[in-house]
Amino acid sequence: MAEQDEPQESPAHPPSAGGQRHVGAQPQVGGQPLVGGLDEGGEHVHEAECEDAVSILWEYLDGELDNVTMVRVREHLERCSPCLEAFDFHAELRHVVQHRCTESMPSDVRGRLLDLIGDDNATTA
Amino acid sequence: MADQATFSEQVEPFMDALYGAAMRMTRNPADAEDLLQETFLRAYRGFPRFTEGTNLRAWLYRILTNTYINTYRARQRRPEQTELDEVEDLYLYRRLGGLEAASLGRSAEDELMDLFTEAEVKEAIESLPENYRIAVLLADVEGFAYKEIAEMLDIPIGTVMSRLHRGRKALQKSLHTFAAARGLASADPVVVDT
Repeated sequence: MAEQDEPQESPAHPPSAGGQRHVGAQPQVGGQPLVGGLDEGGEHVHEAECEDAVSILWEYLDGELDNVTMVRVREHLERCSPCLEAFDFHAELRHVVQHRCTESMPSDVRGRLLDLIGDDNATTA
Repeated sequence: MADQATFSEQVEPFMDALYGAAMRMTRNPADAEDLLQETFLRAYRGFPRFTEGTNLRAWLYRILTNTYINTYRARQRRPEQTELDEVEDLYLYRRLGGLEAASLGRSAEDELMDLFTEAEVKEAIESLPENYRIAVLLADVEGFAYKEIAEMLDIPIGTVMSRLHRGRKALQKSLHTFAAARGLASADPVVVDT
């Protein structure tokens, strides 16, 4: 059983429609294995629920789940802080990847491209 | 009907991001520029047929991606890496037991940001097989929805999803290798004492 070391933090943010990312509470990034945990009332969260949630983690974060399933996952995350932390980790990982891949087009490249699509150039075959 | 005279102006906000995407696809600046020139020419010529008010960004990326696939894609298609399906879902997460955000007084996201350099993340993406690389680029870097990606690549949504699943796993394995090389990740999953 995974330990809940700290008080439950802010509840999972509802995912937004249309593919927006959601980042939940500040996670402790650590290697807690997901073998189920305790929910708010000290009830054991069934391991199968965690496996189910994790198996559709990306679809959830991508905002691609149907409403019913999305709500089910969200409710699980509200009860299961190890899963919430895992979900938050992946949302943040994507943010890091996005940030690290940000690029600026060099001005000389930009210049040549704009010349290319300048008034007369691009209309010739 | 979109007006070609406004093409540069309308396309300008997307140029940095398109450059980034072209770089990740072609993996070198000269090819990236060639790809972009080809893309811009096609887009310019096709612009009169573009419906104003619809998603210009998706339209441009569709042209970029298809130009890349048709021009630069390796003739030799690598087989699908179905063994990636066996990689556990939380591969990287389970091996990052060493992060202690609280003690260092920084947010977990800063921690995570510091784990990987720009060069490493770019290399990790660029080392992905093309199909996976394109899917991960479009979803994770550019934020397109599955449906948009499916339409851009003219493939079923299910294929988009499976390429994303496998591509993200492959990406995590690469990132893990970098982190492990600097002693920031373990080889095996971290086990918490119960």
